[in-house]
Amino acid sequence: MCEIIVLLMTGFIVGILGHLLGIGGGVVMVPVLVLIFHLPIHIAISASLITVVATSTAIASTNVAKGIVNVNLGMLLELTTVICAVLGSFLSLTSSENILMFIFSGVIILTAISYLRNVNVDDVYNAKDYVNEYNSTVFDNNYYDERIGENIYYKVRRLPLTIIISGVAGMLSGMLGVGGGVLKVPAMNLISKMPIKVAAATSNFMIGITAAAGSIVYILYGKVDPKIASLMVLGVVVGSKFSIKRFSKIKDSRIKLLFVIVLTIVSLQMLLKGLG
Amino acid sequence: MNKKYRNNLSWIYKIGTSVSILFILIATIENIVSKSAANTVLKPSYESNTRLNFVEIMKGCILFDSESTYYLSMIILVLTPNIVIIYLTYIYFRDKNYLMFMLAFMTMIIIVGTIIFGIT
Repeated sequence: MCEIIVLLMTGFIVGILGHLLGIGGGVVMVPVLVLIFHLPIHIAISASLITVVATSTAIASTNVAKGIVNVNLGMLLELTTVICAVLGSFLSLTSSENILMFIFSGVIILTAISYLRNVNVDDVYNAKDYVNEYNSTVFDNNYYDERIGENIYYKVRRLPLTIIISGVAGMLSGMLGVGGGVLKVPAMNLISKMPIKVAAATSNFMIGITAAAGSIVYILYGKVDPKIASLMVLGVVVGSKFSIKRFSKIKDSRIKLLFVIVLTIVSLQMLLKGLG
Repeated sequence: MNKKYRNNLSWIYKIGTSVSILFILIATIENIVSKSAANTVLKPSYESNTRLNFVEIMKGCILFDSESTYYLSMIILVLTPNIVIIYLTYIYFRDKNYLMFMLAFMTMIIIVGTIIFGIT
């Protein structure tokens, strides 16, 4: 009974953090399960992947219905991402815990750096930059922006580079149980010049499929604790719904900076544990 | 993609998530009301280092075993995005969008291939 409450509360807190800080939760969940609950890293990774699927499907249902997700582009990128995620999962299963912890600490640092770069940057609303673009390929698209009340057209550029980055994100997702949005969203926004709203929604749509493909490998090889994974799913879903209703996204840069510091400490702890 | 398809996709996601959450709740109740953990039919497979057995899971679900119900909820959740891929493959084929059909079909094959490879 006590175990159930602790797991649900942990999931709940991760769900709130995920919504407030705009992260999938894998970066927080894996270290929590490894460092606090002392679980084997493979079990933590599989629980994280399954939770990522839950959060992604919960959000994707709204984004797909609203037409914000670029499904065609998502499918193009997903082909490479799924292959890399499955390979990443197999690679993870054959790797030692120390190596995975070492790589994970690197990914946490990468997340912290990407967060640090955005600490002092306001959320620039850049949809107007795309108003005069026209559809030309199957991947170019438009969406109705509720904020300015009109259709925004955008053209997808430099696809090969985005495909490669997406593949790397998929590999990390399968290996470490993270969503990979930290790589995908900037790639789609900065390289392919997609509006940030579409990039985030498409990344979220893809993350669910990628994490599902990766977690299948862990499930089939029995590297999963269904109780831990399911209770974390429940906690995270309730936590994120609670956070959506109660809090808006945190704008205070000091809290984001605090999160960066916490990530750095967690990264060091993972590194130390990896080094034995 | 037209609105009808988008709504159908949204419903697949909603149903998948809701059914999975429902099974998690059922499993949690089963877990709380069961007298001890020794009652569970299925132990977490990583402890015994064996592969997953679907027949055992279904048997456990019928016997109201919480561990098996947790497994079932997890499998439903993980299969939801794969059903989305299958549906997308179907609508691309129906709309004669063969480029997108090929992409969706290949993604589907990789996932199904992984499942078959894992089981065998």
